[in-house]
Amino acid sequence: MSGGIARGRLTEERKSWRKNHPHGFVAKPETLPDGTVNLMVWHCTIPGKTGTDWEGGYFPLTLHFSEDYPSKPPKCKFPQGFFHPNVYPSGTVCLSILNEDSGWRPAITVKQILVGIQDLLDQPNPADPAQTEGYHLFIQDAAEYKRRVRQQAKQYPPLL
Amino acid sequence: MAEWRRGILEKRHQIAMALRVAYGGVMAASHGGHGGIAGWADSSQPYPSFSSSAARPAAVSSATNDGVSVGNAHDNRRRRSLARRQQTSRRRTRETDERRTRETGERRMTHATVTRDRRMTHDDGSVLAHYMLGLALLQRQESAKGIKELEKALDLGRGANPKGYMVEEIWQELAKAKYLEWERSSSKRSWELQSLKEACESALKEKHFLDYSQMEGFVDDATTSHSEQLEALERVFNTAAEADIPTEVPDYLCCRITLDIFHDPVITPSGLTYERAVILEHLQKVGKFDPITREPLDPSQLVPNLAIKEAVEAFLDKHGWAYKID
Repeated sequence: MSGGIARGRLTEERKSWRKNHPHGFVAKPETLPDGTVNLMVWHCTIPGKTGTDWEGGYFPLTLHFSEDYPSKPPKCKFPQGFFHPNVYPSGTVCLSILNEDSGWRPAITVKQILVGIQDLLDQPNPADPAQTEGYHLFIQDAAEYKRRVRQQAKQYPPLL
Repeated sequence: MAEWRRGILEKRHQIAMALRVAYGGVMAASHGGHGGIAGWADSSQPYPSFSSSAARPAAVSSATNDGVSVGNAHDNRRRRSLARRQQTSRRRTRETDERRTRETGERRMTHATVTRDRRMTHDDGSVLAHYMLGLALLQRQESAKGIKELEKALDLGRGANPKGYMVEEIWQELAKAKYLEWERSSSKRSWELQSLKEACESALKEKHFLDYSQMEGFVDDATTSHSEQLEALERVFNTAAEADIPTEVPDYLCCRITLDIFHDPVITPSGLTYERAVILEHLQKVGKFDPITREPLDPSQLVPNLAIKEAVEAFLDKHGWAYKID
């Protein structure tokens, strides 16, 4: 039954996303080699916010949903080694709304998750560091931090 | 000669006595006793066989093996066969009685079992029966009857096991049937509205033509009036067709967890409404707290939200497109 609930919810999420989603964002379930769709893994793209150092970058993010979704949040992963104070070296995003024990609510949608992560990119949370390099630069060397962010944005140009 | 006759009579008397004793032993054994001739009325061998000489009483053996006349031997055989027949008859009677008793007991037990099973599986059986009947009726294009049966199955299923896979399956079939029914009636309504609209437009055109011929000096007024009437007519028909145009299901009719329209809504003490199966699963698997407010919550605190349920039913009656399952 739980698998049914998760898939049913993700079907609704997909319908809702197709009808209306924020400009520049991409979110689509994984298509397997045999052509079937795997609703439990979504490949997304988050655009860097206009007017910030992240602008111009289109950052790939993968959402991994468990059979217990939406009771449990999805695991959100950027590519390994992604530069950000709140992203673990493995690429996993550390965000309160994605924490099962604190901010997660089953009513939070994929749209809200992606917008929340976009906000996090330019507004890191120093109280919850996930990687040494990003955290230290953000705290101690703002100029170098900005340079690294802009450099990373260039690494992820828009996919045409 | 007299001695010889006396000898025969004695032998006959011995045989008769032996048979009487044997018969008594068999009867005692058949009533659970252990009396009678040793080895015969023994509980391990309650029904003695007269066919083997070993099983016969000594008197009978000696009588048959003695050098007496054939007539006497014939009498002995007759007596033996009579005794055998009587014994067989009694055995059959007793076996029949035992079988009857056993069957009566079995019948009683079977009746009790059936009654108990019927009581236990009545709901499930009904759910399945109504569900299968509903599907069969839909297959036969009897959609109204089929939908009624599926609705009955759904009600029974929700009562028995709101979280069961069967409930979800029934809902899917019911939604599919209702959507197809809406599609048919929607097409019919659309066609009727279109025909009526065309008839109204042509009637307005005729009226405009007549007015135009009569109002020679007021052509502009007539044209303005005609275009306004056509616009008003367009608005009326658009409003009439609105219910059949798929849009968004209002948020207040959707579960915050499934994001889908409510099927069986329940309300929590915090005032939030959820889909019953989903909230029950959350409470069982994740924890006994409200998934949104995180306040403690027990399944016993869930109350059916009849107001929302009625609102959903009213919405679906009016907007059948909302039944569509992708």
